[in-house]
Amino acid sequence: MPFDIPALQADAKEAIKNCLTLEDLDKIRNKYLGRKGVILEMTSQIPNLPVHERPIQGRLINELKKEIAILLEAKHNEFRASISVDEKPVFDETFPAFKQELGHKHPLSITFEEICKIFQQCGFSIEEGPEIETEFNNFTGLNIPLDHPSRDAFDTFYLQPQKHENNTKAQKLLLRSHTSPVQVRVMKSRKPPLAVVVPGKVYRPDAVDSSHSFMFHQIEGFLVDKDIKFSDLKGMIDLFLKSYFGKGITMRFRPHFFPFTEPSAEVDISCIICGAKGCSVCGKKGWLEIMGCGMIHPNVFKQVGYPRNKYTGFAFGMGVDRIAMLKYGIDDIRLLYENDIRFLKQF
Amino acid sequence: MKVSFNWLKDFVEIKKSPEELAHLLTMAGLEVKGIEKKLGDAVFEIEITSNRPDWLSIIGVAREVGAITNKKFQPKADPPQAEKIKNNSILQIDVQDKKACSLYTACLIKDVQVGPSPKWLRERLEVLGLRSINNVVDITNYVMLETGQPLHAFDYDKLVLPIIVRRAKDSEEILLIDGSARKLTSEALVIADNKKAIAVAGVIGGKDSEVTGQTKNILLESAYFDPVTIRNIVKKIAISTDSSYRFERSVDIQGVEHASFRAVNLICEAAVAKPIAFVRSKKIATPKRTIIFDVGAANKILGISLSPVKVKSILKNLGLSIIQRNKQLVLAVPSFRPDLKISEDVTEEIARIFGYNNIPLTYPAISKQLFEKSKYDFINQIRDMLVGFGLSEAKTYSLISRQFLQKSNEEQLLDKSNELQNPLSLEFEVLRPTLFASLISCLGRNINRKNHNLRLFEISNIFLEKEALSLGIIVCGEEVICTDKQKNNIKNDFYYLKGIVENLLGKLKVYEVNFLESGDIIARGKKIGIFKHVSRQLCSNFDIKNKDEVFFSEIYLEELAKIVNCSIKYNPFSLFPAISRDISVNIKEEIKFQQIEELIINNAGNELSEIKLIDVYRGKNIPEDHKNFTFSLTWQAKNRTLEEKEIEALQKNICEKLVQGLSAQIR
Repeated sequence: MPFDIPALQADAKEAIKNCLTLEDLDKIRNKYLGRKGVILEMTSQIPNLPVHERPIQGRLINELKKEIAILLEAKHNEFRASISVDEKPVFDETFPAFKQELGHKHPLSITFEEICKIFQQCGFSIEEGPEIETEFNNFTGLNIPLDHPSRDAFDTFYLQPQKHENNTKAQKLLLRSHTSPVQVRVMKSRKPPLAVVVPGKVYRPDAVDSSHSFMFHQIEGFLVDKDIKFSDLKGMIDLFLKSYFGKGITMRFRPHFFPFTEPSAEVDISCIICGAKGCSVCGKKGWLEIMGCGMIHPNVFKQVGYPRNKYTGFAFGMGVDRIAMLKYGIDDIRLLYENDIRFLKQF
Repeated sequence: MKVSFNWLKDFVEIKKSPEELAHLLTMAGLEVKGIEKKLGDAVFEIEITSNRPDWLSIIGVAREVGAITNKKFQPKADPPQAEKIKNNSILQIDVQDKKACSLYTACLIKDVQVGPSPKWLRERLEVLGLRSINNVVDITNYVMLETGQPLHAFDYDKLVLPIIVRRAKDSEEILLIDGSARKLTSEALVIADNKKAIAVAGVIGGKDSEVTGQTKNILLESAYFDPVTIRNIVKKIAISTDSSYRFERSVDIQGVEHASFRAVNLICEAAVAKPIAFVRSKKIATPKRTIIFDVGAANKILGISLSPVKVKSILKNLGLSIIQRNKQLVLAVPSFRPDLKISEDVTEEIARIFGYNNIPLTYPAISKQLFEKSKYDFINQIRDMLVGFGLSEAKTYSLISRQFLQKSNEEQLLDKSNELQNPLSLEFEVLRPTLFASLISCLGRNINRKNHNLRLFEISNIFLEKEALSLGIIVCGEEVICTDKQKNNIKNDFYYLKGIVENLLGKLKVYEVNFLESGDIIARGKKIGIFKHVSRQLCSNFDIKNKDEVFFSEIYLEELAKIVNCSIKYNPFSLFPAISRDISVNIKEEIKFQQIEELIINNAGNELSEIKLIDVYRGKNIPEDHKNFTFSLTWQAKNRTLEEKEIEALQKNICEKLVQGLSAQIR
């Protein structure tokens, strides 16, 4: 008995026409075109038909299937079109966002990271040393005699003898007045080649004011190998300064004195505030003193047990507080240690 | 130190303007900090580094000018009187400590008319900011400024010879020319006569033998004192003078007599006096200092290639003489250059006269080294995570006061703490044994300045028997996030702090974290830190006017580093369907969350994959002193589909146990 294709066709059309939601449309699709749907049911009945009926009915079923599919598709598109016309706006793009307040790194940390990164990219490793140091590492090992005026520049805080496991009568302990002691530590613990950068806290008994603090931060760096030259030092420093302060700055080296380097130099850069024209920051000179450096003194190599003339190397050091203050325009060093959130939030 | 441009011209030809010369000096290592135009002269304010005592004189700077500008330095010759006054028995000196004083000379000048100084002398001193006193004193100052050799004039008639250079006797007293008195120890070196100490050697003279308007005869001292000895005396008696400053850094032993003759000559002219006698102590053999210098090696280490001719010319201009020639040079070091000891010192001289800025830039070949994860990386990682969570980083002073530890109820830590011998003040006397004191006062400052929503952390060392890295976190206040159809009050309370700590540890792949009632934080079985609620009492100890509660945690990073294991291993998750059920339970207020959670977990079978608190409710429909928790539980098996009835049975079991074990009511 053939199926009543026209009736099915009319039912399907009617159902699709009156359909109101996508869900219902899906139900209709399932009813007619699904796994257990009408079309497949009819198709499975074809073998039961007389042979001469089969191709006819098969064709009619196929046509119905196609027609239903087309109607479903059309209705679906109708739904889609109407959604974009009738839908109310879901959000106001100008509204304040849902966001938590950002956290902030301390400007000294940012400065440390930027400087260290430049040297790391050149092949330097980062090491740290203890803040409590021995007199040997802080002075003697660095060729700073304890009884010469050059010692005065490195006035230090001494610890009361007791408590710390290394603090005995035989070995006076102090708070390191520079990061250079780590040079001694590293050179004693392994042999060249050495390329090391040392960030750290240092202490000096300076009265606190807008540009001095008894606790501040330095970065030390040193390179020890065979045949390291003074011109290498200049090149390295030039690369660092231009990477950190920008390609447009110029640099100059001035002879100076440090007990642990010979030759010694201080390095100035053209003032980043006034562009070397002269302003209050650079004291009208147009130059800013940025760091000290030099070739490591043979007496330092002697103290760490390196044979004479076997190695040469250079060392440099800079005050990170000062550099951060220059870079960010911070006019009072105390702001760095007060940690007012209105200050921290700016970085 | 102040230097007169015109005075320099007495010793070297200068064609440059003061500004040009100042620049040249700065670029050669004598940093000119400022130029003052005064009385037709230009005065340079120069910063002299402690290794160049020879620059503490006009002739030293003039010699330098000659070397830099390639002009001849013209020292003054010894005045003709030098030969006329000879040692005779009038003057007797006895140097008892020859190590402390390797050369002592004295000159007797008679019929001195002490009076005002001639105009040229007054002007020279005034240009350098010195007051004129009288002709004799002024001349001793003048010669010191010119030659770098300090001189001292005694009133000869007040002395009883011989002059003795000795150590002071213990408790020996002396009245000084500045009016103050000192009780000396045997560490001090004194100039004495037969009766008593008449001067603290190299530092300051005694009042009794001071040159006054009535002085008729003068004994002029010019000597060399050991720098370390003078330095010790200066520290002991707490007096520093222009003289001691120079002796501490070492004067030129070969210039001691010249300075004396120069002064004697000027005094005799200005004060119409007559030089009578001159005596010097027995000469101590000072070995001639030489340095072997290799031009090639110097060029190599500097990265330049100067010709030997050019190098020798520089050395000559600096006052070094070359006494031998092979492949290397043997240089004789002049007595006024105590800083030149090794060949590297000479290399520096070559470099700075040649000009540091004329040396090219090269780039070193940096040998490869394996990069290992370091402490620095660990700290950066933690810092980045905390900043990512929304906290801000503080950096506070490592030094605190004893009072701080008392105020924060941590006095017991004082026993283990390190104190300074020479603190700047009591406020900064102790090296902090914990980050709490610094962070609570930092927080307090912020609160009192009306900053709210505070979430601060610091990573720094703390100091006990060992120095150790520590992380401190302190929170207070709340953040209100208001957007359309959603308002959130995120309180910076204990649960927030706990979340930060757990998230931080979670990022480091440390998952088993326990917060104990004792205030300890345990991870992987080890104590890695503490946490605490900062009581109102404590807050008021620090004068903090907070309306919200304050919470603090300290994580010992050295301990944490030991248990961190960042190797990740993928754990395949199940593809079989999960089943979720909610359990809502009323429970007595005093029962802690952990008890309830543990009980549920222990009775939920082996396939419980997640338990999440989704609601907490107190109020209507809940019995008094009870709280209501709603949990969402999820079960999922690794290798099969779970059946509904299995889960129902487990759920039933859980509910029964809650009722039995904790007197809970199931909703």
